[in-house]
This record gives sequence, structure tokens and C-alpha cells, in this order.
Amino acid sequence: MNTRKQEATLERLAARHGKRLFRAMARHESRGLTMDRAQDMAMNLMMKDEDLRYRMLRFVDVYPALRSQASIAEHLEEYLTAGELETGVPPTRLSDLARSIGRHRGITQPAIAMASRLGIKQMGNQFIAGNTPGEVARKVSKMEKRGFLFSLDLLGEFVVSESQADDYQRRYLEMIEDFEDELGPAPKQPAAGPRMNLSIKLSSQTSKFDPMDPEGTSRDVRRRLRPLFRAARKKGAFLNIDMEKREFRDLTLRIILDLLDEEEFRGFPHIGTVHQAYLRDAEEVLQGFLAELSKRNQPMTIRLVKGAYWDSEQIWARQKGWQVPVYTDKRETDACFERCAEILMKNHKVVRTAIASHNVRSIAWALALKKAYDVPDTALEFQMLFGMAGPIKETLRDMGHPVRIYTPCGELIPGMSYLVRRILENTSNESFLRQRFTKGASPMTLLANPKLPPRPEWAKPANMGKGAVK
Amino acid sequence: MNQENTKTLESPLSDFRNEPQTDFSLEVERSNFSNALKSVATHFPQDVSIIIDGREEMTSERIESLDPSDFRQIVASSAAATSDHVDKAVKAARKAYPEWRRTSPGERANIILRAAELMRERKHELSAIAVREAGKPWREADADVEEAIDFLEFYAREALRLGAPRRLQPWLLGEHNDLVYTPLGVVGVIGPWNFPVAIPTGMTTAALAAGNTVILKPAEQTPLVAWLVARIFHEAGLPDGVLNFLPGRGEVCGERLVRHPDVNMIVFTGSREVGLRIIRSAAETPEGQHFVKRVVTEMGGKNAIIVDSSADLDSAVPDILYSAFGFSGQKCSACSRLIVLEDLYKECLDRLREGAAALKIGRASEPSTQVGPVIDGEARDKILGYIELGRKEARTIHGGDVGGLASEGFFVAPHIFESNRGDHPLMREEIFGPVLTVIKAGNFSEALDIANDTPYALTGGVQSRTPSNLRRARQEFEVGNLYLNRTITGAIVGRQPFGGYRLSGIGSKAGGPDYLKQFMVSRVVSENMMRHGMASLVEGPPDNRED
Ligand SMILES: Cc1cc2nc3c(=O)[nH]c(=O)nc-3n(C[C@H](O)[C@H](O)[C@H](O)COP(=O)(O)OP(=O)(O)OC[C@H]3O[C@@H](n4cnc5c(N)ncnc54)[C@H](O)[C@@H]3O)c2cc1C
Repeated sequence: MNTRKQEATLERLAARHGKRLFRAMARHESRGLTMDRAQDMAMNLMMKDEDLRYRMLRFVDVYPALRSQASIAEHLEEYLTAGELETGVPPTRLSDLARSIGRHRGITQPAIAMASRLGIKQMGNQFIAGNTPGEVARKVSKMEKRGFLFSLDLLGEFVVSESQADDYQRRYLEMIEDFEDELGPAPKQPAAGPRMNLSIKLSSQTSKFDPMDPEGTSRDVRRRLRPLFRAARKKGAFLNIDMEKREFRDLTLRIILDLLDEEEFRGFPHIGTVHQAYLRDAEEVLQGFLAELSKRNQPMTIRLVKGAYWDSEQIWARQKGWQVPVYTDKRETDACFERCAEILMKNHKVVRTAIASHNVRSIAWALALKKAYDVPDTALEFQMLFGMAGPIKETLRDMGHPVRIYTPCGELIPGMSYLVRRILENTSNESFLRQRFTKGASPMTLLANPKLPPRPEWAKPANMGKGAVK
Repeated sequence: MNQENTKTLESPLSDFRNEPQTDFSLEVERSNFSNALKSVATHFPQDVSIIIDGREEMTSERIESLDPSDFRQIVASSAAATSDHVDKAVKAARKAYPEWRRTSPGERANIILRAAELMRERKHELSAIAVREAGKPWREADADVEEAIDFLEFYAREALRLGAPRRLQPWLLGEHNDLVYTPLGVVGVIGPWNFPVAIPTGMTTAALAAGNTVILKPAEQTPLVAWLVARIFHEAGLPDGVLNFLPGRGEVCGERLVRHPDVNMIVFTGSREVGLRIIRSAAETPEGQHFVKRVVTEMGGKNAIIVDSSADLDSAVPDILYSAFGFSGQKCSACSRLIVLEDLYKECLDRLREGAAALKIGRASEPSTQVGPVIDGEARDKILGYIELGRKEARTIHGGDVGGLASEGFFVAPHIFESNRGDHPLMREEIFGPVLTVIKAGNFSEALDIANDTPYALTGGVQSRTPSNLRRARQEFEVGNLYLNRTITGAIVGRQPFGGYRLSGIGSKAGGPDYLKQFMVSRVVSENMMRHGMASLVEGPPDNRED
């Protein structure tokens, strides 16, 4: 379908948009990766080596469960000095520090505990907007004043009981019914659907989300979803169904269609879901889903992401002896993201597209598609995560595009898996943000077309080779 | 992971190499050996004590071990442990167990290697005692001590190999699966007299290397040399109570050891009758004994050599003579049945007869001796009984005479009989002396049938230059150790792991890769390393270890 000429035109457009974005970002870029210098330092430290990153993450993970200063200090010491965690690499850099913790227990323990508390709290604050809806409402109001849209995400424990699922449903319901009232009057915003926007995880709506039992799961989940959709219809709120691990994808899509096939929800306009481009069958599944939507004449917003469970998907697949379902070369994921974006935008009469990425190249490509396929302003928005990629958000907003910020709300303990995912992502060697803000890769490198083979080493200008995506 | 478990020796260990044999072609070695023989004799009779928890103890009752070449000479006067001593020793071993189990494989190996070093230093002294106490000719005694050193060196390395946790499927991400071996507890070692240094050392070392504590009961005939081994272990740094030494009578202290509810394992080398009794009693689980006793036994053989028509008699005959009469046929690997194919039968018998007649019988301490005495009067009488039977019921091919030696020591001359009945007692029963019975076979298949027609399966040999016969033997000759075109005794640690099946014993081969595992249990520890979807994506190093 796509001729070579069109492709070249798109590529030129994308390059132009990319350069423009980088130029505009320079104005906002005096800041680092995050908003905070100590944060940046901690993150930088973690990026230095895989073993240390892993040790620190495990400490962050256990931290909320530690009750005393002594146990915080002791755990830190153990995590930093344990002979072998996973990589078999003996700890070198931090073992001296850890040993000195051991030596000066009485004096150092409280200091270590305090430092850890501060550090982890700051990391939490960086990526989680607040513990309570009230706190979050204040942050969201500020975001709105600065011209951003939002989508709320409720952090919670993994649901294993029916009462937990009920509890989750109740919290979602309260958000739909009350949250908007806690915000001030709506500022003027680009047209992008309802002001209230909530992201929902279907696995939280039943105690047994089991792909082996699609009927039963669909029945249970829809029973809890109906009150949410009714409330959303009444209040004029938008509900997005987030995407979780690969095993849940097909069932998640099916439940959405099952619900929309129910008489009362047919044609419900304020619904969205997510599509993960890191899955090898992403394009096929996307085409199939779009066909289902056209058949029903069902409006929908599709948030295109790369996928947040990359590490886990690899591990699960290996443990079960399955083929790894995700791409293992970062450029393949990026390329698939671009192909999926093209599929979506070509179908802008069927779906609205939300480009959820912090990667300037991915965003530039979307802007090129918008122009090439004449996508109306109302059919495309950009989404980014709370606490990340400030300069990119601001640049897009300044250019007049709708920018929605995915805003997690909840306590640190139940929010830990979200926090861990964010830290993993931000400290991953493959991450765009890390390449840009920590390794200082050049715009030219970062804007390279992922659909082409990488430039051989000899063809790269000397100063560009450094820190380029491998 | 247990920090201690990963501790290794200061410098990496070299690969295992066998202890070289003493080169008796060198004047200096011969004179050293003679001197050792002289010097050990000055201590006779030597007192041999019980060692419990590092303390030596004598008893009023004594067991005397005699020089089989010269039964007027008392070599040792040994304590005779009672069942109370057994109880005390088990208690001491139990008490020492937790600490010894915690000691890293590296440290255990260190002590064992130090013992090997000490044994090397005292090699001739130990051999000399084996010459006098067990009636072993020089080369046999020398090989006995070398094998003991080999066991020490080999099992020390095995302890390190098996001591390190093994990561299974290291490519698996997010979960660690580690296979570890842990010791069993208290092990009773019951040793034989025929390899009075090597076998008790081997069984004890394996148990210790694996992290068990041990009670060693040596054979009544050879307590002195075993006592020296026990002392070497202590000198090497073995903590008190880890190895307890109990010389005594089998019916008294052996019996108690086998039945003791706090002994986890018995390792035994000796007769089939005793071995089977141990196996039976180990099946019992008296009140309060929360395990089934593990038993490893080595119980003898009725080993055959087949000579086919293509054999090279120039080499076959010496191989047969040595296999049958070396150390007076008192090795469990010794050849006691010879199966010869028709074509070569007569010629083979003639050459054997000549060869046997030329064997020099004498005191074990004489360097010229090829056939020494047998261990004691009881053994001599039993063997003579079989010889009597042979004279009556079979044809005598060769029957020597020991002459005046009969009044000095327990001497029995080599005998060769011809039988035409595969089911004759000479062809069936383990004689454990210098008696060889020959039978004729029509073809190779028949020869194999005769060879396999025995309740044992220990060693066997084929003398042949026909590849298809050698190939068949590999597949069909039912023995634990098959030797083609060579002697069938003298297995070497690491090179020819040794042990049989059927009624020859239960357990895996000594001096081989499976032996140490018998003294341990394997455990698997699986740890989920995923925390909130996070785990290192770095694979562990590949798992190269074979268990
Ligand atoms: C608003 C918003 C909502 C989101 N909702 C969801 C959701 O519902 N479900 C979900 O799964 N994710 C969701 N995500 C997360 C998203 O999937 C990405 O994890 C995140 O945005 C990082 O991608 P990027 O394009 O910003 O950065 P980039 O740095 O360009 O890409 C990083 C991503 O590339 C992929 N990757 C990393 N290494 C490799 C490799 N070696 N081989 C192949 N691929 C690799 C991974 O997917 C990784 O997250 C959301 C993100 C946003 C902004």
C-alpha cells in the first residue's frame, strides 16, 4: 500500500518535526531527567551497572515493609554486600559503604534509615502524584492550569479476593463521581473528550482474571464494570482500559467488545484502550480489533504504547518454555510502534489515536503521519507519564497539541510495582530518556529511522557513536 | 547462599593425579623399604587403642594380630571395644556432627589433603606394617598405601566439586534453582583386612569429605595399620569426635554399630554373609529412629577370565596367574574361574601349569616372594578344605607344596583344578585363596554363559584378539569391572572406579564420580527472584557440572 515515495516523504517530515521538537525542547531542557538533582544522582548511580541497579531496586522494593531504622540499615547493608544476587558479580563499589554501616551501627543506622526514607519518598513523589484523591486533585489542578489534560490511575494491590475487587470498584466509582468536583472550574483546553478521564485495570475487577476461562472472567469483570460505565455516562467521564501482561491482552479486548455488545453500552463514545507495540503480533491484532470496531461502528480512543512489562514478559516466557512474545531488539519495538501508529492514523475515521511515548522520534513520526493522513486535531492526542519528560510535554503543549498526563494516585506499598516499573524503565539502557538526558546522545542519533538497519560503526561521525543505541 | 560453602582452598587445586608406584628397581627405594620393615618391627607388639572424641583408651581384653608369614610374631595388641564403647563413640560422633557439617567443603578438603601429605611421608612405614600385619608382599602393600593416598586426593576434590551449589538451568530468569548436597549424619565404616590401608581410608575419607562424622571399625586381623590411619587423620587436623576409632570383634561392636539407632549409614567391605545381614538389619527402624539407614556394601565375587582361541598366551598366562594368585587370591577382584575355548585349551593349561609351578612362595617380607601367606589360620583351613574337595572331585592341574613354611605361617600353595561342572562348589563359592578352577567351553557364547552363571558380578576378563568377541563381552559379560586383555585386579582410583552388582554389593563405584554422593542427600532450593516484575535479565554462567 505504502509506496516508497510516500515513505520517503513521511521520513522527511518526521525528521523535520523531530528537529523542530529538539530545538523547542532546548528551552525547557535546563532540567535533567527528573525534576530533582538528588533523584538524578540516584538514578545515574543505578544506571552505572546492572548489578547495582538490581540491588538498589530490590532494596526499594522491600523498603515499605521495613519497620525500624535498624532493619532499614541492615537490609541496605545486606542488599549491597550479598555475595551474589543474580549476576554473580561480586559487589565492589558499595561494599565499603555497606561495611562502614556495619562498623558504626549505632551512629550510622539512623542516618542511613533517614537517607533511605528520603530517597525513596522522593522517588515515590517523583512518579506518584499523591496518596489521597485530595492531594492528587491539587496536583491535577496545577497541571490543568499549565495546559495539560489528565488520566487518573488508582494504584492498588494485586487483587486476589472478591472483597478487594469490590473495594477497587468502589474506589473507581468514587473517582468517577466525585473527583471532578474537587478540581476547580475547567480551564480552557484543546478539544479531547471529557475532562474527567480514568484509567482502569481489568485484573482489579475480579479475583480470578483467568485467560483460560474467558467466559467466566468476562462475566465477572462486566458485572463490576457496568456500574462504572453507567456512572461515567451520567457524569460524562472517559474510561480507559489499560493493558497489562501479554497473557491478559486477548481477554481484555474481548471483555471490552462483550461489554460494548450489551444493548445499554452500544456506541458508548468515551471509551479507550491500549495497544502494546512491543508484542510481535501487535500489527495483526490491531488490524483485527479495528475491524471489530468498524463492524460495530463503535467509537474508541486507542492509546499506543510500547509496553511496560518487557522484563517480566521475557522471564515468564523462559520459565514456561514459551516463545518470547516481545521484540528483543529495541529498534524492532520502535519500528512496530511506528507501523501501528500509521495503521491507527490511517483509520482516523474509526478511531482516535493517543500516542503515549516520551520518545521524540516516535512523537515526530506521529506528527508526520498526522500531516500525511490529514488527521484532524480532535483525532490525535499525546500522553505521557506523571513525573517524566517535562520538556517534551511542555514543547508539545506549546505547539498546541493535547497532552494528557497519566497520573497515578495511591500509597507507596500498593504502588510499588508501578514505581518499580518506572525505575526499571528510566534506568534501562535502552530507554530514550536515558539516552537523551543521561548519555547525551545527539538528536541525529535519536531521530534515526528505527525501520532501517542501524548505521554501521564506520559510517557514524566520531562524536555520534558515543552512547548511541546499540 | 551459605558463605562458608563457597570458601575454597587458598590456591586452586591441581587436577587429580594418581600417586606414583614406588620404583623398586632403584636401590635407594629397596633399601628404604627394607629399613622401614626393620624399623617397624622394633615396636612389635604395638598397643592399639580405641579413639573416642580424640581420647585414646585401652581395654583389659585384647585382640592380638599376628604376622601371617610368621605366626609367632605378635604385631599388635589391640583394645577390644565393647558395645558401651560403640554407644560412647556414636554419641561423640553425633556431638561433633553439627560443627563438621558446617565446616566448608574447602576446609574439609584441606584436612584430607594434609592427611594425604602425611601418608605420603610415611608411605613405606605404612606399607611395611601392611606387609607384617596383613601378609602382603612388597608391591601389594605399596599399592595399598598408594590407593589410600589416591582416595584422599580424589575425594577431597569430589567434596569441592559437589560442595559448591549447582545452579540448574541458569538461563532461566527470575528464579534460582540450586542443587546442593548435604551430609547424612553419623557413618559407621566397617573395613576389611585385605586392603587394610586403602579400603578403610577410602570409605572413611568419603564419609568425612561429604561432611559426616565417622566411627571406623577395622578388621580384627589388621587393627594396627588402621589405627595409624586414624592417627594420621587426627594429626592432619580433624577435630575431636569427627573420626572415632573402634577396634574390636565384629560380633560385638560391629553388630552394635550396625543396629545403633543414631547411625545413619553403614559402609561395609567384607563377606557376603555379613553384608547381607547388615542390609537386613538396616531395614529396621526402631522407635525414635527417623530415617532409613543407608547401606553400601562390597561383598566379593567369583570372577572369571575367558580365554578365546585368538588369545595371545604369552601375555594371557602371566595375567591369569597374577589375577588368580597375586596376594594369594585374597582380593575380591581375584580370578577364581578360568574359561578356556577348546582350540587353545590344552596349550593354555600346559603353560599355566608351568607358570604356577614357577611361582615363588615365601614370607611377605622377602622381596623375592610372589605368593605370600593367607591372612589367618581360619582362612588357611577353609582354603585347604576346598583344595581337599578339588583333589577328590576334580582333576588337579597343579598342586604346589609349601614345605617347611607350613610350620611358620599361614601358607597355602597355589592350586589349579579342572572341572567339567559349572555348578561345582569350586566354580560357585568364593574361596578367597590361591585356588583357580578351569573349565572348557565349546565356543565364545558358551564361555559367556558360564562366566555369567554366578550370583556375583564384580570383575571379569577376556583374553582375545577377536574384535567381535571383545565387543560382545562389553555388552554381555555381566560384571561391574570388565578387563580386556589384561589382569583383572588392581583397579586404580579415578581410572577404574571399582565395584560390582548382583550379590557383589550395593552402592556405586569407589574412586568414581558417584561414590561421594552416597554419603549425602541432595536438596534443591528454589528462590523466586522476581519482585514486582523485576529481576535481573543477566543469565548465570552455564552449568557445566556433571553430578
Ligand atoms: C500515558 C501512558 C500510558 C501507558 N499505559 C500503559 C499500559 O496500559 N500498558 C503498558 O504496558 N504500558 C503502558 N505505558 C508504558 C509504555 O508501555 C512504555 O513503557 C513507556 O512509555 C516507555 O516507552 P517510551 O516510548 O516512552 O520510551 P522508549 O525509551 O522509546 O522505549 C522504551 C520501551 O521500549 C521497549 N524496549 C526496551 N528494551 C527493549 C529491547 N531490548 N527490545 C525490544 N523492546 C524494548 C519497552 O517496551 C520499553 O518500555 C504507558 C505509557 C504512557 C506514557
